[in-house]
Amino acid sequence: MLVFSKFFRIYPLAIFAIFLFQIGVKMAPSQVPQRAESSSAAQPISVFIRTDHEKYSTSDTVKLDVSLQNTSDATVYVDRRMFWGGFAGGLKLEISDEQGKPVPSHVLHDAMMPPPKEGDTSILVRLDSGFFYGTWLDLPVKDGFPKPGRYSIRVIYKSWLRKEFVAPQLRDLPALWADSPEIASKPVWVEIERDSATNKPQR
Amino acid sequence: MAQNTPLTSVTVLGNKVGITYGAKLSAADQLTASNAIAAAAGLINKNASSLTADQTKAIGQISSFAVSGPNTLLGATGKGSMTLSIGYIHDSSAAWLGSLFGHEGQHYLNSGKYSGANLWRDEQSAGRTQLGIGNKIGFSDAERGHLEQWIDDRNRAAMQQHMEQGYSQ
Repeated sequence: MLVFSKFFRIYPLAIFAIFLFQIGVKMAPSQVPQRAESSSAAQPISVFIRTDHEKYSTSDTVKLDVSLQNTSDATVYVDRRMFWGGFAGGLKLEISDEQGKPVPSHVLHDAMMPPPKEGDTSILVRLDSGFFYGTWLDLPVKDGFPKPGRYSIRVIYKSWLRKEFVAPQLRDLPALWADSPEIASKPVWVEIERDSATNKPQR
Repeated sequence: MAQNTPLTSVTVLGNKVGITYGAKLSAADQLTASNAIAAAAGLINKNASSLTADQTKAIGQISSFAVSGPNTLLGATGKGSMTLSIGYIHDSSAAWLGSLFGHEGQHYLNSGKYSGANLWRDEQSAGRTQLGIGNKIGFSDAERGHLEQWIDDRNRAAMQQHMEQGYSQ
């Protein structure tokens, strides 16, 4: 009975894994998600980013996922808030061209993280070892990439949570406080093609 | 006063500021944002007489306010507009929101004034304007302390990093 129980628990997982592998093999290049994880081994949290495709046309929107992954052996708490408001907002988006030259943005990403509201006890998210927490950005190609070509994308995460501004009962938790250094993801590469050059289903 | 339908504009120091809402925002979220922006505008207007000419000028640069969903870039989004997400608005007090009119407005006034290694001064300038306004419209001790630490000279590296776009590999 015990053997059958184990079999039925493991077997569906194996089929699922094979299924995923098959899907991965059959993906067109433009549909392959691009992924990158930060390499900072000293930090309990790594920043992981990925795009939904490798190639985009100029009329597409890049979906960029970012997650904080607890790669340590211990529980870590993180600020539940992440804003695409530049370095001061917690998430800084950086785009460079193939030569490594930063792509200037035509708008100022600027929304400074406010201190938590008084008495907000929901400000921290518990991340046990092996868990992650994140958000995503919908970035229209026309807003982020000036012309067709290859670009790298990187995200920097910075906590601005100061112990003195959170509810007293939270201050002793092992959290990523404001005195923690910023954490940069590894870059992911995307290719922007002219509209007529892409052969991708409409999204 | 809370409204039943989302406002399409508010008056801030005598200037009309248009409000737009992201297409995916629920009616409830639109109303929440509308009420928060109206409350922020109300605080500015109520304390108009205590604002300096420079603070008034900075606030006056903002002509439109876009409320977005959580998955968009936020900040000074061009032509006198500022964009904030519903989540950001939810997590901000009325005084903090009101002070941001001055912050983003000051960035517009600073346009072209700072460059290179001095970009941090643009952010410090905007933060100082924000702090001055916030102190007059009801900052909490936490908001004041948080912003004071941000614009401190010793924090110039972070301010510089905030203002720099892109990165070199």
